Amino acid sequence: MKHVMRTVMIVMAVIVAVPAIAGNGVRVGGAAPAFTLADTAGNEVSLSDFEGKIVVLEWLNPDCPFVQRHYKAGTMKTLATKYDGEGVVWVTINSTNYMDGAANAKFKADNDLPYTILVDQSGEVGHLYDAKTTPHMYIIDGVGTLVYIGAIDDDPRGNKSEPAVNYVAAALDEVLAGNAVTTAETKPYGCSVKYKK
Amino acid sequence: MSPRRPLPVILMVFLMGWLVFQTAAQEVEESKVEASLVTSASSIESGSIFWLGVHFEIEDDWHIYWRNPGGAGLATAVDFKLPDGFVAGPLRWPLPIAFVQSEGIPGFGYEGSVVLAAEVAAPSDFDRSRPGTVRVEASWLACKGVCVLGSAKLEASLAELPEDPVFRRWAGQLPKSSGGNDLPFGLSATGGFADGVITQWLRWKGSPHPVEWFPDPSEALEIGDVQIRTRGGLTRIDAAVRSRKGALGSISELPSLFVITGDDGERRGWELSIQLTDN
Repeated sequence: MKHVMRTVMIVMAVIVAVPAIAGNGVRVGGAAPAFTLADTAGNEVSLSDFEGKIVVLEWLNPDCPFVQRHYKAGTMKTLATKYDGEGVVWVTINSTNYMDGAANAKFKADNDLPYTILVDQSGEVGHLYDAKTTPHMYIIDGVGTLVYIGAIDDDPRGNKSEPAVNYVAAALDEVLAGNAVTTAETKPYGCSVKYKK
Repeated sequence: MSPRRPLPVILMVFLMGWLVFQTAAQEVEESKVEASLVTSASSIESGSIFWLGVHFEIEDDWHIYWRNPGGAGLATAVDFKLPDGFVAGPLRWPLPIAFVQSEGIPGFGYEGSVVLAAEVAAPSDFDRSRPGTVRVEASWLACKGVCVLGSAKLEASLAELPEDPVFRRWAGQLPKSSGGNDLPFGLSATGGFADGVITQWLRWKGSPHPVEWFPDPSEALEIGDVQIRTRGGLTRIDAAVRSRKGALGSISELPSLFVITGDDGERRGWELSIQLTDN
């Protein structure tokens, strides 16, 4: 009887030990899910507003040291500015549960950012894209297809002796040249997205 | 009777005190992990083999990460610089624990205290009168809701390294690297990329035990949606599997760590690997 009881308990112990696989249908080669969120001024912004344009989505949490390192180095701002001239739209989404419009507006002002920050405190859009880390990067081509998902670069510790490979820049160059993206998926690195419980 | 102080001086003193307090508070806030260099040997002899490692003391409720941090995070890193003639083996990782980092984002790592160490061989011509210096660079990400990056540059004379009593039981916390005769189950796998699911079957040699599974794939593999079920003498581990297009690393092999909890409550681990197929 004791053995039976233990077996029953073990049967019930279903352990989910690793994250959901880039779930919810978000795949390179698939359609980017539609969304609408408010920006830091309270204006609604939809992905469909950028139809026909290449869009970069960046998941942000200003409290994350990986994000802080990249903003201190100007990684995102430099890329956004460089590719803005090529018609690329840079959109940052903050799914941190405790950061409201005012907190994001302050970060945008403090860093003099030329691009939009969308406020996703509910985490709905973050979960829709299965965003796991900050930063977590997505590139959507002009017809709404996801062409890159993953890390910003190949230097999680920020201490590589040789120059880091910026995956987003490499992918944007290939998309703008009309080519397929060679490194279309990488493992993202950073803090976990601080979703609402 | 004390002399009267002008108000600006009092304000200045108050301001300086406040700044000192703030600085101290920030240092405390940033220090979530203490790292120290430790060894298993009371003294190092010519040709001796000993453990050399970093002992991480982690603040309550915080964690640092295993070599596969899970859905987010950063693997803890330890880089040894040894005197000429000393040779270090690979870094060994004690059994990790699984935890939830945020909704839907589990992680693998350590809480409380952990030693990450490598086996080191001393040269046969080692001269104890000139022991040399060990230098180690360690870096980690500590998280408890928020995350803090940490690092330490440690160095010590080989003659002065403290023997850490943790090594008396440390080897028991290491996974075994192959099946061997004491593996309590037989392992087989079915499925693959075509199915998008890999199923591992653990056929128990005796009574089944609770199982934890820690995949350790290359960056070219994405593993998720894990479910573990045991019925009778068979445990089934299902996991979604897919390759990341263009990412570097092997997609033909999936190394992982199986941890079972015995009747005595002890956790024991085995590092095993399965081959992945297109079928």
